[in-house]
Amino acid sequence: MISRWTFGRRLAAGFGVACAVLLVIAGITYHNTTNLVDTEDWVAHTYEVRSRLADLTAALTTAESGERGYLITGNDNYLETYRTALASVKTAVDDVRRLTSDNPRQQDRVNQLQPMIETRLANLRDAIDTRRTSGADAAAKQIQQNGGLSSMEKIRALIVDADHEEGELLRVRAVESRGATTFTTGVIIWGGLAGLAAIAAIGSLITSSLGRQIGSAVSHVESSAAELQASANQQAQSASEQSTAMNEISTTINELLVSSRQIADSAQRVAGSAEQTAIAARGGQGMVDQTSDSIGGIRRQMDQIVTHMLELGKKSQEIGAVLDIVLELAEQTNILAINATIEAAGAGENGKRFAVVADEIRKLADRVGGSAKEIRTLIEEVRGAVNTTVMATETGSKAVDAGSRQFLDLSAAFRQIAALVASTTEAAREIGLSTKQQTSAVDQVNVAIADVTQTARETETSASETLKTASQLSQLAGDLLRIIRPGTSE
Amino acid sequence: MSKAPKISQQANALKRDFDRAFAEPMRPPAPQTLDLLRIRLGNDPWAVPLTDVSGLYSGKRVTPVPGRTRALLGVAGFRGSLAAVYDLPALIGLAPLPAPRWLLVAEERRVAFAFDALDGHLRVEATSILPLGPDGGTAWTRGFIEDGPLRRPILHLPALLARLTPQTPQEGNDP
Repeated sequence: MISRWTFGRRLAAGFGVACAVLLVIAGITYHNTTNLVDTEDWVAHTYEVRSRLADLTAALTTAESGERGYLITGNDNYLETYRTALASVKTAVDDVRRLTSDNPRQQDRVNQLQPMIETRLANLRDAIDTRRTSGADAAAKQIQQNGGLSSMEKIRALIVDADHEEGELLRVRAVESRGATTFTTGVIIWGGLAGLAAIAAIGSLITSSLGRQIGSAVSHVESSAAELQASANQQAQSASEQSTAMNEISTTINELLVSSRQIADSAQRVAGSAEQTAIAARGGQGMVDQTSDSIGGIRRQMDQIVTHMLELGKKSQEIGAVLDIVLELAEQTNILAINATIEAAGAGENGKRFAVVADEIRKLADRVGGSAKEIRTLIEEVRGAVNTTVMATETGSKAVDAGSRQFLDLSAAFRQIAALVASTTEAAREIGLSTKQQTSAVDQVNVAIADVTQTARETETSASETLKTASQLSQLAGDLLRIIRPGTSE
Repeated sequence: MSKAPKISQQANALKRDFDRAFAEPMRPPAPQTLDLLRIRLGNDPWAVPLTDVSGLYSGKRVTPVPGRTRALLGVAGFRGSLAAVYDLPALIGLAPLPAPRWLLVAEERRVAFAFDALDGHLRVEATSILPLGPDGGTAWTRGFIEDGPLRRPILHLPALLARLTPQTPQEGNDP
């Protein structure tokens, strides 16, 4: 339970025990001293009583001496002594009575002694009166009659008894005084030793306990100081790293801020470009619609071309049929000419002139046939060209159809582009607005990071201070440990 | 269309030549000339002397008749008389005609020969007929002529007729 006591409580308990021991010793000593003082008082009282008894005896003797001097000399100077002694006797009797008021036997003696003293004084006064009135002889005679010597002896015997009583009391009180003194001395010596031993034990116990506890606490403090030092080191390092990181973050945030502003500018330019693109897209859509109408016209013209070409092909075919007839005629004419030549040859001289005509006809038929073949070739070429043109026109018509469809798709694409460009414009505006807000937020973040950086620097400074304090605390703990454990090295 | 003027020029030239032919004085044919028919047997150019031919026809209907040789295509009528029609390419060892159109009637007027195509009439100098080489000649050819870049062997129809002659008695039922 004591181990749980606080340092102050232990000290208070230790000092309390020591004070209690000292109080006991002081109490005993005080009691003994008081008894000793009382005893000494009583001894002094006894001495005073004995002194008063001696004074009484002396005063009585003085009064008797003065009376005797007067009786002898008749000189009044002796009476003065006598009177002074009378006062001293009275005072001494009163003092003895007062001083021995606690002693019934002495009071009895005083009570016995007072009438005897009064009687003796009365005898002295009578003797003096007698001397004054009757002379010395009468006085001497009267003295002899009064038996002054025996009364004085009784008085002295009582005083001696009283003195013996006081002497006995003095002896008893001296014994008591010595006993009390011895006891007091023993109490002082042994109590002091016991108190010293108790204080030493208590001090040793407190010192040991407190040393152990404080040593443990100091060890804990030292350990905690070391941990605090390590923690402060780590905190300082962390604060330094945090400060460095915050600087890097601040740099990055600044770059981000510049990038955000560039993005905002770019978004604004994109919005402008998107608006122009939207205008161009609407214009392009109008152009596409016009072009689509033109393609419709081209499609109709192509249909007419195909119709005309088909008509041309048909006419060419008819021409070819006529030409076939011409060729047939030319061929038949040629056959007829050849046969005429044969017949003319068979007719001999009479047929020569006919042969000439037949020859001319044959030549004409040959040339007509050649020309007809050339025309036929041309017609075939024309028909081929017509067919090719029709096919090309049909292909073109299909291409026009495809182009028309593509233009429809293109128109839809332009409309979609216009819608998307509108969305892009809106998105670019939102991006610009958001980027401006982001720039503002980044500004705030930058300020906050600057504050954090400042805080990190302050933390680093505080950690350095903490480190210094921890070092001082560790040093103080070592000093304290060396104080409570002198053998402890650093 | 650039050929249109050419055709019209040709027509005008034809008209001029035709008119001039009848306007010029009569000139007798030059002596020592030979009239030839330019024909094609398959893709090969040939020539036949008009003196061996009594008539030229085209598009005549040939009525098939059975015969000993595949070259006999049938019979056809020419100016009121029938003539046996032979496949001329088949006779000279070429591929037979798929659809004969041209017919020439021999001088004998009892035999006609079908051929592929007629290239026209050709009048040449007699001296322009060149002899065939020792390996190129056959029994039914007698020289050749140069017709532009073509070289036309001259078919000797009498030789072919002579080859067909022994068969004639078996075909003697014809009028």
